[in-house]
Amino acid sequence: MKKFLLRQCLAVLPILLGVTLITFFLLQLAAEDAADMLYRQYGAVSEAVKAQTRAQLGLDRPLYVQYFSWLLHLLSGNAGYSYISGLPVSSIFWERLPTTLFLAAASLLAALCISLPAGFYCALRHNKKADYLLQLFSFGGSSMPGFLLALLLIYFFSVRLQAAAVLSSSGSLTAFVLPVITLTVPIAAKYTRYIRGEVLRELQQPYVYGALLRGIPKNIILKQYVLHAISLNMLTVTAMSAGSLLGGTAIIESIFMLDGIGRLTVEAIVMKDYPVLQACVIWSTLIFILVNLAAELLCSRLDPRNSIFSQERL
Amino acid sequence: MISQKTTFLRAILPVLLLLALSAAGTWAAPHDPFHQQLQQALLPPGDEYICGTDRYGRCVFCRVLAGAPLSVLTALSLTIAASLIGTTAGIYGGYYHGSVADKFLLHLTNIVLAFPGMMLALAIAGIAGGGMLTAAAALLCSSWAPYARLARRQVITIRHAPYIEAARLCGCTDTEILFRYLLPIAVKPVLIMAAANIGTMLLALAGLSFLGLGAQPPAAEWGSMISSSRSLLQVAPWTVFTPGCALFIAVCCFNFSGNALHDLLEPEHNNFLKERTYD
Repeated sequence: MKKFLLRQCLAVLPILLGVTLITFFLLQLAAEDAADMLYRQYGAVSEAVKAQTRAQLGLDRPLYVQYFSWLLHLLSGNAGYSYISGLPVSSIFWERLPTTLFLAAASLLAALCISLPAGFYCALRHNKKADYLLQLFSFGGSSMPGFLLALLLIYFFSVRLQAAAVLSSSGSLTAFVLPVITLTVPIAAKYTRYIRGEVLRELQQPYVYGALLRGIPKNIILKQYVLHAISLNMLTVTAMSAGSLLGGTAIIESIFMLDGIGRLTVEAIVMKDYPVLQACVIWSTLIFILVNLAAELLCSRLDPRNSIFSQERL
Repeated sequence: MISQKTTFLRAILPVLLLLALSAAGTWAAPHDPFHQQLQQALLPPGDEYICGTDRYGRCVFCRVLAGAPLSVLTALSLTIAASLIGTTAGIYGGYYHGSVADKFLLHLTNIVLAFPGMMLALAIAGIAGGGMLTAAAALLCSSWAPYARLARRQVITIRHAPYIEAARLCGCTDTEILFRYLLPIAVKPVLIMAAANIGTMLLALAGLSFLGLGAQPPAAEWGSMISSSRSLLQVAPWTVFTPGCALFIAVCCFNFSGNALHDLLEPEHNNFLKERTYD
């Protein structure tokens, strides 16, 4: 077990290294380098001055030297400074993180609260009217573009009914209602379908028939056996969604003007604030990897077969 | 029991309809989608303009029609390209399991998959500058990896199957084995995955355009149309919801086809579910 834990943690390292490598070299694609960006606000600056700054910043060194020195700085916690505000990038990032984390957690929780009962209900009413209706909803929900849903919600609740503020002062919970609904709908839709399938498959298992024949009430079978059986897969799926929520809320945060990571990324792109962009990509990827690792370890703890048979995994 | 033919028709019809519409595109539009008439600006839906006009007096319906090829065909070709690249990498890596190339491809796949959601595509498109071409390239860079992983797994599981060994004993070259015996096995799950992902690709493309990183105005791409008329939500909601509905319908069509294709290619998955009841 310990060996397995260690191996899983070690397996993450080359991926992390690769992520930093890709992120670093991605920025080399940009047309302007740091010297250009620093002198942007001063208008025309002679190339000689820029060359001097490049030498000071170490931009004239070979790329791999720059990469390793950047990596060392990153490991020591110094990810660079914003071109625009001059603040350390990591402090900007950590300041924005809670909003995104809250958005992700709230919408995941809401999605689970909706989709678990809905999925079970669909599976039990398999191929009946209610099942078809819920399936239709979940099909529509998963095909809905996030930004269209956001604008629809704003149109109906804020413009027509004037029930919810489009922009509340940041920090107030009402500002989060519409964005959380927007993020919840597609996830809940996807999960409902997924849980329906999982429950249906689980109900085919011999142990369910065994339990039924032993006279165990149906709701106990569902609550204790089936729910436990599908919870492992749900954990993995939820971890995946948490990741895509970390990296995929850019549009929703931009529409609702929430100060989260997604909007920070978009702002960094628009302002060409590359150190901030770099930090956003690296840190959110790191969090995603850690969340997945935690889910995997938890899975193996809950179901030892995962670690025993992992030798055979491809 | 629904016959295979019906399932196939069900899978292919919505997409054919969409493709026909995209091919018709500008030709079917009653007005010129790029012609600006400021005295006709922001007309509500009526007889002359079915879905009203935007702030420059352009027919919204015509623009949606004209945008169909850009949105739908790009998403479709991107998915095809991503699945081709991914499958090639996956089959190659799986067949030469354990080789340096396989290890390199495996690590690259894992690294690309480690970026959450649209982060990688956002970063690439953002750094390379806006435009439909860079957005497409960014999405391609970030979407081939799942196919590679899937194809690699498929190939690894059947690589040592008796019939492959037999083919090798008969003197088949590696290329022959790859194309004649391994490719057909790996294609089925990849096809199912690709069909299910066209809708996602459409949404991702529109999302990048919405953020200003994809198609640039005056191009009639649906995402950028929604984005540019977002401020008119209060006065002219039709300028937002017409392209939005078009996008929604297109994604629904592709998802529907994806589901039907899944039923068609893996009927046993559904049949065994349909035969049992739990009362």
